[in-house]
Amino acid sequence: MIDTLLMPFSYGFMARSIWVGGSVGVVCALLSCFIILKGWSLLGDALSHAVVPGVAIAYWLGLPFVLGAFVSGLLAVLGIGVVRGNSALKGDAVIGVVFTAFFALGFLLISLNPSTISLTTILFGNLLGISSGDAWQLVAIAGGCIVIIALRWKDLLLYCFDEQHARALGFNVRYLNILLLAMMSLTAVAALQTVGAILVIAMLITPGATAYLLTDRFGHMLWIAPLVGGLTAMTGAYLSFFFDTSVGGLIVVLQTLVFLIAFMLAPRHGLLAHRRRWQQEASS
Amino acid sequence: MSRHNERPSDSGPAIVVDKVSVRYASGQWALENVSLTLESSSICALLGINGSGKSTLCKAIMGFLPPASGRVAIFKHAVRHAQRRNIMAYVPQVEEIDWDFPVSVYDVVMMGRQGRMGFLRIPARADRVAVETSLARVGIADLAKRQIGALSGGQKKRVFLARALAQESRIMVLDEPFTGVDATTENAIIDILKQLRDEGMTILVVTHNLSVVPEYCDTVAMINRNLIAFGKTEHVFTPANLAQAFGGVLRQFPLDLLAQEREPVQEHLP
Ligand SMILES: Nc1ncnc2c1ncn2[C@@H]1O[C@H](COP(=O)(O)OP(=O)(O)O)[C@@H](O)[C@H]1O
Ligand SMILES: [Mg+2]
Repeated sequence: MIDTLLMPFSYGFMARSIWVGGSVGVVCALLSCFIILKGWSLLGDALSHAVVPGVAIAYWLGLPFVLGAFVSGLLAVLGIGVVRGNSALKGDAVIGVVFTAFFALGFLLISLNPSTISLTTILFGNLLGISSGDAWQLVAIAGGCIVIIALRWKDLLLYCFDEQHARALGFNVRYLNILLLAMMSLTAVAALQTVGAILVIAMLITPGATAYLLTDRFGHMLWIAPLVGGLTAMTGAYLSFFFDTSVGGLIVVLQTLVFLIAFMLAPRHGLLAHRRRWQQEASS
Repeated sequence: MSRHNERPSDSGPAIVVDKVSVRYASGQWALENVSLTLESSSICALLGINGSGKSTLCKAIMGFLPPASGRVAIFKHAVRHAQRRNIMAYVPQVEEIDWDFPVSVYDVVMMGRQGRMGFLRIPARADRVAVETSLARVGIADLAKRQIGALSGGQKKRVFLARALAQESRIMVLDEPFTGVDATTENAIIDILKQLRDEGMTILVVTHNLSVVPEYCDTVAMINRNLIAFGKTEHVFTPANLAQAFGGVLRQFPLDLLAQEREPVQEHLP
């Protein structure tokens, strides 16, 4: 029994996918705290699709895919900014137009040269089959972003909570904006490799949303979310050894389960707490 | 409170708004050719109907909105310079804040100190003292641990006033601090504003509570996209100007004022 449970660790690719998945889960979860509070969920979804053409071109040219993802993510954000600033269109429409355009371009590039990277990898991720070079890039992204968040989270929090006040204090909000977007692009591409373009957005929202239900202190969210994100990603990768399923699907289903438990049981914001409060109010 | 960011160069008017026009991306002109000069150590009331551009003017002064033409000077320098020196505090309208944000009252007031902290933004003793003093000054020391959404309207205003106090700025811009608060809170806030003025602060306050304006405001500005009137309260706070600023919208108080001004003896009638 124990032997069976430990078996995944005796395979190099399994051990690797567990710790790569875990670190990607942690960094996505950290960013999700900022994304949900800034109201950038749609933008996160957009970015996770907009990095695809960059990834395709980078593989094509033999460059680190991180570089390609980063450039194309920033181009998409710039595009969104330009269209929004020069039209009366609503923000979500602009985001929708730009990100589908980038995603479509990515598809086109991949189908032109399918030998370098497959469409399935982009759409559904390939955590178990990840090359060790790619794994190191992901871990570097995760480590870099975790360090930046550890050092700058208070300024990023202030920026998300009250941008005007940040300006009044003399902070460079443009720099904070770019920092957050850049980290989003990087984690989006990391998550892309792990769970695929379609499910990236779950990694970038659900752990933060779960943490938000469980606490009303931002400092605590920054511990709860990565704990949830990291553990679910590692568990998902581990379980996929026994069940022949999509790793991405497994990870996101686990995250959703944790979210549902929080949604029911959270002390203040949960369904049961609300019901109890209604009953108390009704009886008093 | 000490004003350690004071400098010899900070003489002359605190805020100069020079022929400022502001246009939103939608094409709407919210301000046209507005000019004001606020001396330091004074309180100015900014009056006007809804949509007249009061908030827009506040934001242009704070440097949140770039003017399409004209310029704002803070102690003779560009606004950006004043921002970097951390000498301007802003108390936003309630609608501008996300009250579901997972931060406590204490956290928000501590944000007033963030510009003074080191690289890691770890509060020093002086920061904690400033936050506690500010909380006590606005009378919400007992609410420090509350999440900001779990507060009454008046308490919410006090939180952001406390944050501005903790910032120890030289200029304070308050957008509708009295809207939706009870008389106790209103009086408490007015008392604090008066004290701050006496300590040397320059204050611009957007308000709809006209009746108390002459009690604490040194100058009054009335706008309706354009400047209608600006000057010393006793010169500018007149029925004619109020009528022009508020048009037919004037009711309750201002009518009393109009009546009083025309027939001062009325006060003594039963
Ligand atoms: N972000 C915005 N985009 C476009 N128009 C705006 C925006 N904010 C305010 N306005 C318009 O500018 C005018 C002035 O608004 P505002 O300064 O908020 O007025 P007040 O604070 O006096 O009620 C109004 O007509 C308002 O509709
Ligand atoms: Mg307003």
